[in-house]
Amino acid sequence: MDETSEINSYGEPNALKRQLDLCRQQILNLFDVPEEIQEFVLEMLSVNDLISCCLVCKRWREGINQSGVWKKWCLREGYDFELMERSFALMSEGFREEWGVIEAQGVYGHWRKIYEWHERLRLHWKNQKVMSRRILSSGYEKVVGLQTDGERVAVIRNDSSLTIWSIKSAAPIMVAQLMAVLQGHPILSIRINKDSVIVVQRKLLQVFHFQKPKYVLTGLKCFELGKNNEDLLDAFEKQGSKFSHWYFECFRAKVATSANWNPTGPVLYDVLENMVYATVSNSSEVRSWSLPDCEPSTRYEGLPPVAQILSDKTDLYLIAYCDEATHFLKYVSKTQSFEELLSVPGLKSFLIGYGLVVAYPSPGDVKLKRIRAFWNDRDMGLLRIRDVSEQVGISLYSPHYIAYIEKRLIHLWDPIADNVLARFLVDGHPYHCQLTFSTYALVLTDTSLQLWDWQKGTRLYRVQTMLNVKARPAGNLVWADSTRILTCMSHELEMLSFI
Amino acid sequence: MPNIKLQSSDGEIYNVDVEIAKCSVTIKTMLEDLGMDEDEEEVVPLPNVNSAILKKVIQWATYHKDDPPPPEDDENKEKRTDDISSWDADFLKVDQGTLFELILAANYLDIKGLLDVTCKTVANMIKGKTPEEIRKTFNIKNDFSAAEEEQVRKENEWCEEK
Repeated sequence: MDETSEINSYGEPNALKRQLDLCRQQILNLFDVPEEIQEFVLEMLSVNDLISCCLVCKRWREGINQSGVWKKWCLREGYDFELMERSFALMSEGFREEWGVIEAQGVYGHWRKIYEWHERLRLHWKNQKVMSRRILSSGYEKVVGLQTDGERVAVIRNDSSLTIWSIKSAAPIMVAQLMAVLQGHPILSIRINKDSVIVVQRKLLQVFHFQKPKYVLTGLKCFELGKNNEDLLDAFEKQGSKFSHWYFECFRAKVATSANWNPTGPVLYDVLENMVYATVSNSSEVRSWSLPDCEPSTRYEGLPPVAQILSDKTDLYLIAYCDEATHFLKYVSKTQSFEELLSVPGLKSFLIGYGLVVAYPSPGDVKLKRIRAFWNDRDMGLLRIRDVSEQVGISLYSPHYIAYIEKRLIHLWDPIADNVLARFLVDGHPYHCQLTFSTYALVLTDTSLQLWDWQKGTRLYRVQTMLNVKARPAGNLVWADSTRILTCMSHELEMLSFI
Repeated sequence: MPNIKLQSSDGEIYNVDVEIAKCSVTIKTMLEDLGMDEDEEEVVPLPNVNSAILKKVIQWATYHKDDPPPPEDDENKEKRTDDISSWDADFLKVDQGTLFELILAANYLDIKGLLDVTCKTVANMIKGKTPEEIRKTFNIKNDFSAAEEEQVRKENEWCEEK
């Protein structure tokens, strides 16, 4: 009897036994069992164990390198593909070459690659005992703030001038320099939006439009957010600057369209997808203008008194207070209206991002000392509540971590798992905590800028600063991503990089 | 207590208490969904499990019959491997072929407790060991050339500081 006929007699115990015996001789290896079991075993091992497994034999090396187990480690450290892609251009030549060799071998699975890339980067950070510190601007006037979209940074100076730097490559390039229209008046806010930079001074909103890639200023549009700029006209005429000329034109062209809106309180605005949405604090009306032409668009009326306009990358939100509750409204582009999704009694401040909406106590919320996290979907279900002892400085980071400050203590909380990942005590009075890369956190205190490893609770770096943190929102003074920190710690814009 | 007959791949038949057999989700589903009557003298064929392994599985299930159901896995929780009971540790002092076959059987029969403890045993055989020690434990031949081994070691240098 040949072997084929034996196997064909399937179901007959003897033939099957022989088959199984054959299998039995082969099943001696972890990488011969189904993948889900392999992963189940590998998940119980540490990274060091996994690396040891790589060195066992060719079969194991391949199995480990291709395994999905690395996903667990990536998720745990917050490593993602997007971050890896985005930061690639910023890497030093040496790092890129080193990585190119690894990529070329093509032996790593998706998650293995992401994990190793970030770990290597982390090693670079760690070994770089002194960060490179570079001064990005040199002017006579003091730098008072910065704003960035991660690709460009706008630096605001005391004399209402603006400098735009491109930070897409390792060596930043200055791409434009301009003056805001109302010279000598403080710039109240600034947004970078695609090809435009939007600036508000007094009640004048200015849109500077650029043509990429050389950032040639191709247009300036202004529109009045109120009528009380008129008194400035005379002054401008006397100055005779080219900006006053522009301003005249813009003013005359636009004054008719905005004259029927005369806001009396502070103007709030945000930009989403080439539309500017603006309102006056506590008003029940929101207006919109299209960019870059500043043509008036829709008016939204009958809203509860609006206290804040916020946008994340894809949606626009309104925060409104009335009837002792805070209302959370989301702009629905389909119906072109604002729909209320949530009403929270007591808490007045919100953060949005990473699939969550977080309400937290602000100076006005005397009684309620708690943070509430909600899912950011149509139902807005309550996810978690956390009691805190006082008003908190709070921020939200990838994947969904919340960093908050209580007195001198910084907490890092994962609201989904309801797990406090880290808690560390900072010297000085912290105002702002920002997670940057891997397990690093940037802390801004009244006198210094500090870099911490939150997992170990150790401080890696500390620089004395002359920041006036109380006078400005911390977000306007410091920004960081996986490889760089931008700050106006002294009178200049500085970039600290780790690569 | 009603019994059930389980037939291994090589034709051996085992008489097992139904409650014990039901710790296997596969058998439990078969009995419930396929409407197999517990009173009838029907035989449940298990073509993926041989008699030696089936015997071990039944032995394990009998010892653990009064255990509470294992808790659901929490993704965020680190899995411990140092919580194997001494009875289980003794029970799993078997050759590697048998250990991996027990894993396959536990997977096929869907017995979470047994799968857990066998996989933990394998993980413990790896944990904290050098590549050479792992090779010895699993009886694996080192098929890297000296140059290749050096290369792999270099590739993984980033990890050594941890």
